[in-house]
Amino acid sequence: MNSKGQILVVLAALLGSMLISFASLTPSFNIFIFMLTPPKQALTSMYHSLEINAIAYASRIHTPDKVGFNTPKPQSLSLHAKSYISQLKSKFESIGVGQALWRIINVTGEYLFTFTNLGAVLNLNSKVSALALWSISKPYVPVDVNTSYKVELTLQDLNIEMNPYRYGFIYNSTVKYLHIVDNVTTKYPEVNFTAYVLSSGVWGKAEILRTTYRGNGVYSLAIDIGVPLDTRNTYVIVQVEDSYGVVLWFKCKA
Amino acid sequence: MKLIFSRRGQGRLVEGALACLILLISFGVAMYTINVKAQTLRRGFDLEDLAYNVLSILDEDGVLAKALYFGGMDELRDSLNTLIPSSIGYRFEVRSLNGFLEQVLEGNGFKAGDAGSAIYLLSCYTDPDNPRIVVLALSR
Repeated sequence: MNSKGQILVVLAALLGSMLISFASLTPSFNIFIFMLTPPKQALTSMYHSLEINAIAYASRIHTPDKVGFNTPKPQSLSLHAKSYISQLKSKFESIGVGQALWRIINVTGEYLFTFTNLGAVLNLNSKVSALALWSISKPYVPVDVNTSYKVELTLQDLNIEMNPYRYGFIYNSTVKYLHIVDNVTTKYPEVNFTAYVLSSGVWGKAEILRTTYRGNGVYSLAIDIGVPLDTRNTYVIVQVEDSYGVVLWFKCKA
Repeated sequence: MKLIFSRRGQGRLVEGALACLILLISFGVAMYTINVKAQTLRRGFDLEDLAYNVLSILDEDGVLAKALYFGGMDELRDSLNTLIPSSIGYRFEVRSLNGFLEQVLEGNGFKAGDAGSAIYLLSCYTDPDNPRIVVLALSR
């Protein structure tokens, strides 16, 4: 063999080894990338879960037995929801593995929380609502994620009647509770009701005599409010807690 | 023609053939490696996709949060057994953010080798200071 031929063989061997190395390394690299980039569905679920929890966290800051007649300002609740996200963000940043987790879920996108009428005295067909919007895109996450979550509680019908079983009054109310996911899907989650009545300036729990589900998120309630001291100025609070921990409530003037 | 039949020409031919042979063998080995890796990868991706799907469903149903923050691990085990085919082994891990292993569920004869896994972050309104890392590993 002469020197040119040897160079040719050496070049071929080099090229071959490069080919083999590339073939054996490339898929491993893909695995590494994939491990840190969940599919869009999983990413959306994670952000959705954060939204719901932020709403639940904020909505539980004020409950009727803790507040007086002054209801929480919607803006303060939005701040509480944002503080939930901030707490998580600082938690992720404070730990050593934060950077790796940051690629799975990044809490830096644009998010908005809006609460409307929570705790207000409602008229018929008025709504109490909590809305979360979250948009986050590249380079913070591998795919664009836009997700929204809304819960609505509507007061549809109410009246007050004499209690046929004992001295006092029953407050009848029809309410509708629904989840609207990404402005498309409407869900009717399981909910629990609690009622409070204002008596002598103090909110006390009132017994819910009957809860009837009428379908499509509509419930009829019969609340025993006893004998209010001032029947012309009777207030009842209806509080709804859904299975995600979100609490919405409103006041009604019977 | 004279060059081919000469000693120098034969040497060149042998060198060229040797170079081609090296390239062909390398190419073959590379293709085989890629193919084997791709198959492993595809199996892994299938398992990872399934693991992510399972975690998404569990989260949307509220089962994950209930199990991790309200003590409903039995319900979670039932859901895992329903959602994951019995031919696929699973290992469900709950870790704190610093990586400390808090809870483990295993089923269907999970094997650590050739497993695909999904990582999920979960928090709850009851405990915002304590988000958890959930890892679901699946094996055939």
